[in-house]
Amino acid sequence: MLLAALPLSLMGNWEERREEMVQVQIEDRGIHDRAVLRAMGRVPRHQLVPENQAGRAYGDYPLPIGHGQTISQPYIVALMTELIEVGPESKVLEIGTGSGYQAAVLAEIVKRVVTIEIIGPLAERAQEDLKGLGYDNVEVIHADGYHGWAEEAPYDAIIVTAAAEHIPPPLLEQLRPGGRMIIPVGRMGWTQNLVLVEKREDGSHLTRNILPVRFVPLTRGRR
Amino acid sequence: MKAIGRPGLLDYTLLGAISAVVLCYEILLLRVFTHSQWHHFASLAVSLALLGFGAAGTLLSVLGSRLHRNPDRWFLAGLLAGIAGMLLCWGLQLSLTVRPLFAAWDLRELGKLLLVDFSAFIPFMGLAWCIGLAFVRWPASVRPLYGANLLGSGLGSLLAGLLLAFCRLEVILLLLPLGLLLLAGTFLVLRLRRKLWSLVSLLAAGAILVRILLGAPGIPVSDFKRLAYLLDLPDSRILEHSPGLRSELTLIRSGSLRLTTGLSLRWTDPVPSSDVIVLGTDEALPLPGGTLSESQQAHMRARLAWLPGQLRPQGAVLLAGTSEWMTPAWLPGRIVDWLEPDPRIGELFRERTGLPGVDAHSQELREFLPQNGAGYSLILLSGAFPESDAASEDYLLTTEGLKLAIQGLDPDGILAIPVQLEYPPRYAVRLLAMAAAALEQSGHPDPERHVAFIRTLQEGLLLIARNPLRDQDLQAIRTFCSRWEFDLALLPGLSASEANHYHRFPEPVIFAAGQAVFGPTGELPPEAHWFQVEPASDWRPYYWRSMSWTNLPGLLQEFGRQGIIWLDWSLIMTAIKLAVATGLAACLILLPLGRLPQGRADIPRSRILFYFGGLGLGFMLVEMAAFQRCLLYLGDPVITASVVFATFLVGAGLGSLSPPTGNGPAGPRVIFLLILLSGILAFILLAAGQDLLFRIPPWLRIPALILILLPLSWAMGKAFPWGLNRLRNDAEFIPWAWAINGFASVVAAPLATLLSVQWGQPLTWSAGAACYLLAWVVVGSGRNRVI
Repeated sequence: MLLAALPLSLMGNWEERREEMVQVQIEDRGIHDRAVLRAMGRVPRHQLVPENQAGRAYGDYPLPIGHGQTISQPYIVALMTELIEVGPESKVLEIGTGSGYQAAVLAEIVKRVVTIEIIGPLAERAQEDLKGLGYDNVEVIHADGYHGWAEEAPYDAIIVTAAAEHIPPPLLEQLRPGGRMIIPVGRMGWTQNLVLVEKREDGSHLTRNILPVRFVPLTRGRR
Repeated sequence: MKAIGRPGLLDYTLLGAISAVVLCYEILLLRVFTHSQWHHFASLAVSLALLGFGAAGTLLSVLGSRLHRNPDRWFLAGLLAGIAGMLLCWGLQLSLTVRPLFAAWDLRELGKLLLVDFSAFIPFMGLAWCIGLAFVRWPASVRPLYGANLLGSGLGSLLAGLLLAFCRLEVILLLLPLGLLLLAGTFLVLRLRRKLWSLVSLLAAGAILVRILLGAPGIPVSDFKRLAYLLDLPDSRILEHSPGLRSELTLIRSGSLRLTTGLSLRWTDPVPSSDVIVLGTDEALPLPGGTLSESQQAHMRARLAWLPGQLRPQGAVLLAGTSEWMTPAWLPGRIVDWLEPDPRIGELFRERTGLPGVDAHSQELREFLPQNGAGYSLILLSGAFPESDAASEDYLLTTEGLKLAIQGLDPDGILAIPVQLEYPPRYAVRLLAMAAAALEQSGHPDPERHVAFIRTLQEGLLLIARNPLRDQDLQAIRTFCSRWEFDLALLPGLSASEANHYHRFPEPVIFAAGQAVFGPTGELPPEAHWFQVEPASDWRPYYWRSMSWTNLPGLLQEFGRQGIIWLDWSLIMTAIKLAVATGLAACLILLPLGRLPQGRADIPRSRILFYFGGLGLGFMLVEMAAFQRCLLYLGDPVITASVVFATFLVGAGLGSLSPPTGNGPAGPRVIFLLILLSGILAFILLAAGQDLLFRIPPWLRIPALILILLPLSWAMGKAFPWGLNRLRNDAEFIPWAWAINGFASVVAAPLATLLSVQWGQPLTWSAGAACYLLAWVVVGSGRNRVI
């Protein structure tokens, strides 16, 4: 594991910064799910961002990870994870792997994570990093997330970490009744709404706006 | 400074040509900055660049008599600075991506922004230097010089329209310096007798021409723009790109282009992809490949937009505008009058689909309905869906506009208006209030029986029936909503518990607002109080202005960062523009005072300041107010701008050629009485002549508007040269007076916008009149009753 290669003194420093991040940026802002807080306190975010960004990894902002993509600010990751209400037996589909950080947080909580990334080099790097960190319950797939991943459907939850102009119908189809999906929806260029979709047991849906956000687009050129 | 000779034909020609290029460049830069930066920021950037105009006047005042040593070289220096500034601006546009929003916290972005904007300041300052120098050099000829300046500017506004209609932005950015290089070459050979340098100038022009012919590189589009996102889709490619007066048009193809709005969550197949037309950089329209496939038709039935056609499956349809909400291709089998002012869109749809049953008209609804009568079973305001700018006039979405549309329906007809939704609602409550007012003004005492509002989380559809909705309509709406999981927000007989079922807002705010607007109490829910709710009218046609200045602190306190995205950024930027331009203008106006004499006893400097400041403010306020009103009659902002600005500039240029002479009080009295009387006449005709102006054909409407505005602009054009002429024996003041006028013009443009948006266009007219009255009082208050 990459973590093992770091000097102990620095590790201690990272852990302190992570704890502070969890306390100040997440718990103090109203995230109280113990599993989410624990996961956020364990995942080494600094190892999932480009080296030149590691020093800023625990700051309260998104960071560039190359290819025009970003890693979301820690609060948004925690909020989205809490909203989908998953547990140890859950199977989750993530659209927009990016750095792999959200997938790692999910992997700390759930049984299986399928994560899709449209940008090839990012998918490869996330696969390596997640494997290096020991997250064996995560599968990274290089594909267009708009269509989801029907091979392993239905999912208990779907988390979309890139913006879409409409909720992709295939994702709704792959969500099991009783499941939850969180997705930023809105026109590109400005802000979107983070929307929570609940699929009721009878197959009907309930949607709610959570807060305005600005994410990178869901579907971009495969580079 | 003493008068030296008289200007010749070459001087007048150069002055007119440079004036034309300046105005053309101003209009062009607005389009360029809208393309490459955040669009709210574009007009601020251009206004700051325009301050270069006043700065040139200030510099001329400071340099004073030194300019007479070699005025031709000073002129050439200004011209070359203008050319170099334009080329620098072009290079920076190509090489720098600017994100103005990030400049607030990112120093690098701030640096890039300042660099790009400063580069735009240089050409204006250089060319304005050339214009101002002419006034300094030949003070005895200010009238014809001013006339040439205004006539050239008027032609420049027409030239801008022509260039935008037929040339791509990147080409125009190069054509203007090319033209200036040709002027410089002519000046060098005819005036300075420098054949070699003239040749160099022509060679430089030739190099630019070669660059254009080889294909000028395109200006990168801001990543805040939807066009940037669409071009970044997998396998995205441009099928067609054309310039246009209103906007550039880009036709894009990608297998991932899946535009849909108001789609049901019950729809489980992928949305069918289609080509997309992008107008400008943000407005996108899906363009199907031909006859709709089974899958496309099925997908249409799962959208909110399908409901109106289901309620009224027979009869003629009027589709006003085109948007991703509704296009004529989605109305198969219907007889459709399609109002699409941009003929390129009509042609593309006709090529692809043949448009059976569709009759396309290049008109707006306000113009079309009075000419073509009524009787539509459906009127679909598709053009109302894309959110517009808070400071832009929208005469479709006013109480008068809705009233006209309701009257265009047959007795059983339905008017459908799609809207984008937020929580708390920014526009929907205002739309309900306008619907209630329009129905009441159309003679319907019980408007609540005529309306229904259906919504998703982010889109809504207001239905207004000319006669009360029938029981079968109500049942059909309920069935449709239940089948496709759309929420009923307003419907005769609807209960609060039914109003917030699938797409849940924290409170059923549209339902509650509907009860208030159409019910007896009129008490709006608290969520509706954050934004403007009073109906937009023809005199205050700002439906898209949602922000209330007084609620601003409370909104930000209540919603924190979330509140920031609900602000009307164009108004905020306009207010910032006004503050910055006023501050800079004040500093630059005061700057030359140290070296200017106190003036003769009958020409104190304060009077020069108020006279020329009043004229600058008044001219621009009246011109902007006229532009805002003429948009009602001409529709297209670029055409309207070209017609109105050219009329004002050419009219003023003609007026300036024959101001009253003499130093007595009769001169200003004649001028200002003419201005006030022609202003009142123009205001009355623009206000009361609506019926006549809409009924005459478009080719007659433009001359009619020119006839209305020409006497006013002609009269307004007399005041400035009359004032300059009074200063001919104190020529040190001439560039200062010119600078004051220039600064006041720049300040007045954002002021006019804010006044009209906040209090309505009549106030802007009145403010303009007050400025002219101030100028009159100033010249009438001295001992000799002159400046």
